[in-house]
Amino acid sequence: MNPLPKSVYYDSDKQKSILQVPYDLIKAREILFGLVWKEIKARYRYAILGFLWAIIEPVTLMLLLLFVFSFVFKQRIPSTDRVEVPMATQILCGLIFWQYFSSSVSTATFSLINHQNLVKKVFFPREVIPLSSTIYPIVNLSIGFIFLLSVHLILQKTLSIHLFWLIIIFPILFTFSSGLGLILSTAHVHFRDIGNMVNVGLTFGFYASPVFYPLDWVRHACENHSLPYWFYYLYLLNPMAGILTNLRECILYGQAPQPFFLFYTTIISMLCFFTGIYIFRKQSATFSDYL
Amino acid sequence: MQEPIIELKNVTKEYPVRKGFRDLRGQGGFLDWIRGKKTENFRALDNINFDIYRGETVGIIGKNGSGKSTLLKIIAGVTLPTAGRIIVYGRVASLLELGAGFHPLLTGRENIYLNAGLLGMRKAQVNEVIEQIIDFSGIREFIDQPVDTYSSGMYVRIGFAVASFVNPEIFLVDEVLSVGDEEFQRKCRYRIGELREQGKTIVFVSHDLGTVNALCNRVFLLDHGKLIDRDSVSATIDFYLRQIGRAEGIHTITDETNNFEAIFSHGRISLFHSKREITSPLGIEGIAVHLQQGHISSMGDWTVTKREKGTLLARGSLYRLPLQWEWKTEISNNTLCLYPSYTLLKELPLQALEFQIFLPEIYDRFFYAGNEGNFSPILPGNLGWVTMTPPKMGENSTFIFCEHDNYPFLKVEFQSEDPGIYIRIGNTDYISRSRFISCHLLIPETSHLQKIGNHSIGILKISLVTKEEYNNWKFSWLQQRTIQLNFIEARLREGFIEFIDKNTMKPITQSVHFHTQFRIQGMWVPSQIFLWRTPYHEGHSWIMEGESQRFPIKLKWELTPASEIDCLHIKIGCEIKEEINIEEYNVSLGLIYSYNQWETSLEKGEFPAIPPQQEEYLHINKDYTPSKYICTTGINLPAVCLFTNQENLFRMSAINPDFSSRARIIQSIATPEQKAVFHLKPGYHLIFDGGIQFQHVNTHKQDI
Repeated sequence: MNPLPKSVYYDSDKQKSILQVPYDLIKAREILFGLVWKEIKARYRYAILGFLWAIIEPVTLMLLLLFVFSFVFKQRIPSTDRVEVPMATQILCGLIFWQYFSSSVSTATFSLINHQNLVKKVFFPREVIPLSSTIYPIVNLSIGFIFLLSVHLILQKTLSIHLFWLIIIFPILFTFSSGLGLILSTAHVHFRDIGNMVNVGLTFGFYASPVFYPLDWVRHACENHSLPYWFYYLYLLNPMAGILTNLRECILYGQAPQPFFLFYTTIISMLCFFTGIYIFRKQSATFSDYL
Repeated sequence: MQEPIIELKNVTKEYPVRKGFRDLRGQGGFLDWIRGKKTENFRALDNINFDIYRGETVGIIGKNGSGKSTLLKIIAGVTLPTAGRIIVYGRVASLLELGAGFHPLLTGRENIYLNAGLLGMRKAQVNEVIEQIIDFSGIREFIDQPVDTYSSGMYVRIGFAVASFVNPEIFLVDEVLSVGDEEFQRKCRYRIGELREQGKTIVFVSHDLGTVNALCNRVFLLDHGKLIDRDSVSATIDFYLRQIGRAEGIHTITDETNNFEAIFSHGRISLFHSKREITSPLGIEGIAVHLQQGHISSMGDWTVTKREKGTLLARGSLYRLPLQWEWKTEISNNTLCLYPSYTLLKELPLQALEFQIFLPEIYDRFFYAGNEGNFSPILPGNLGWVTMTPPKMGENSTFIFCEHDNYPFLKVEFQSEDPGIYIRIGNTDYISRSRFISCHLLIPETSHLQKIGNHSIGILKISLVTKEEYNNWKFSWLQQRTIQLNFIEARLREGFIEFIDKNTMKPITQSVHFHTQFRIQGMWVPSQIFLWRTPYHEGHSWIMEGESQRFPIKLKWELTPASEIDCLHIKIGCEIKEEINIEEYNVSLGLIYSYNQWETSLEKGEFPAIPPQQEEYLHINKDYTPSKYICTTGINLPAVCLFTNQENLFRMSAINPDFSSRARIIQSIATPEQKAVFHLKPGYHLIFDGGIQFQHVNTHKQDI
């Protein structure tokens, strides 16, 4: 009789090894999608409007901002030399992607605490927990995105071929938010201050990124010397500025993304992602001790 | 060669002491962290090494906080060891996460998929067993409802069902089986047994030492993070039991010589002689039986209210019964006297009170109810109470001993004013390999012992005796119960008389020996089930008195020996308390199988061989007319005659009993003639006047 195949199921020495991550994630793919599926099913279980909330939320906010900018600050909006794109779609585009970013980062930060039952009791690659938090909001994003396209189609009566750039830009956004999610969730396990910091930071980011205004306004403000010019470069350090601007470029303006932004945000998000994976892996094996 | 499925090498686990960063400057605070100053860590596991092999069931025991759960977590892969290495060669499912990861808003079915996925099952695999899982959980009606509508028991049921069907190679079982109702717990144990049969490896953490002993091949004891491994399961458990006791709440009392000590600890008494423990680790416990369930005295809160050199007064309230024990223990002159009493805080249908004395295996002989015997070896895994000799109502003392200088002979006596006392002795491997002596006090329904208030229940006396004292006691015990005839000795037992040939010292009676039985309301009532007093002398005669517990009959046997002619005259009287109808009665003598001839005044014949299929009594003689005697003879055996002086009343019969008894029975039967029954009025009735006559093989038969 042949001896039973001796396959190692768990080896404590390998738990901190980075090289193990891709292998572990492939093995745990069903768990990952199980968790995402669970969120999808549970989220709107008792809500009558269900997934409509994915649209209602950004639309309400958009209408509010539209009101503010069209009536209250009307005189102060700088004119641009570009093709006129309605303010409504501009704001909606910013909001939908920003909301994806902010909800994935904030749920990822709290995800380990929220799933502490699992972390404390079951063995599986912990990466799937924050990752499921960044994957799940894609559902809302897609609904919102379809809505955005419809609105755009109704107002502009045209869709651009440059939409296909999304295949590159969205993964940048995804890796960036996943990376941040991994870093922040690890930090949050050890320092519960992080949770509060993330909330403050996201509110700050909402105003400090071109969500409800185009990047051009910032540039204009700097060119008009109402702000020092270095402020513009400082502003650009925020990768969300580049990502959101590029998204607007290809969805609304029907233009190719700006190469500098594309290049810069890719670098930042990759850096962020791999740092996240590294830090997370080094810490994840002992999370259960701190929860 | 067997390969380990779990390997632990020098595993150490330290937990950081976390105080939170509330205080920024204090020890272990934020500034220390910035400066990189290490704080003292709590060491939960200290250099643990062991291998677990495929198919083993391993128990982990230890006090709370000894590191059991940490060890299980490390095996489950939930946390990493601080140092050392652990390798696991098979899929692990831990039953510690029952219901962990259940999302309250999802339905039971959805959660099964989710949970099974977390335990490493593919969706297709879950599809195959989902029906079995639902059946096992037993909550099919609720399976499509969100689990936040479930009770906590249902949660656990589903959790256990999933975990037990994911088919891993290693199971980690934490203290989870104590949840759920009785039936589900049984199902769980059965399922664990099944998994064991299938060759799964099970690692088991429990405080239930009985289960650990029953299930496990090996036991590891954790003590402050260190592993203590005694070679055998029972040795480890014994060590642990002693360790528990050592901690606190220990009170020692000694007798004058300081040679005999009793140690009281939380409702358990252990005895020591010359500094050596003579009880097994379970010691002496009191048990209150309520609704078929025993409540052990050690499952209670005890306080010692008074302690002097030789006396100890302790009070204990049971956790799960409104019963408060009060034990007064006195030790002097090599004797421990326990005066138990208890207070009921409300009326309680108690069924019995028991005192169990557990002795180490080395004690291997006993003397009980006239029988001296050996304990059989303790079979491993035998969790039941295996009785060595049938218990006898009213028998309130026993001796336990062994031929070992370090272990004194023990005499156990249980005295109470309430009837319904008996003692059981035997073996058990429950928790720890022991001999047990269990002193019972049965409490009848509506007894005053169930009422509110304080009740004292007599004395439990345990004395250390020497071999001489035992032999003297035994001699006088037998003396008091033996009638010497010429070459025959009659031993008076509980409800029967045994006859022994003094030349060969072999018994000539067996099976029923000499006894009498009545048929009342269609049921045979033999004298053996009466409650008999110790025999006593009255003039030339010996009197045996026995009382039926069921019918208002008291039997009085008057035995008058005529030693020189080897004759024992027997008068059987009946004291009737209420009118009673007796349909029939007889006086029988069961003889050994070698007797093969019988003879009455009317006819004679031979006993045929008993065929193996015979299951009933078979009357052999044909003529049933009342007569005076029946005799039997056998080769090289004394002739035996059963005779009566009421020759009109009794018919004589020779009987072959069933095959398993392998005896010959001679009987005088009294059947009413015209009336259908003997109608006995209250008062004394002489129901048999006669006797037994023996004749030596060599002497010629005389006429009677």
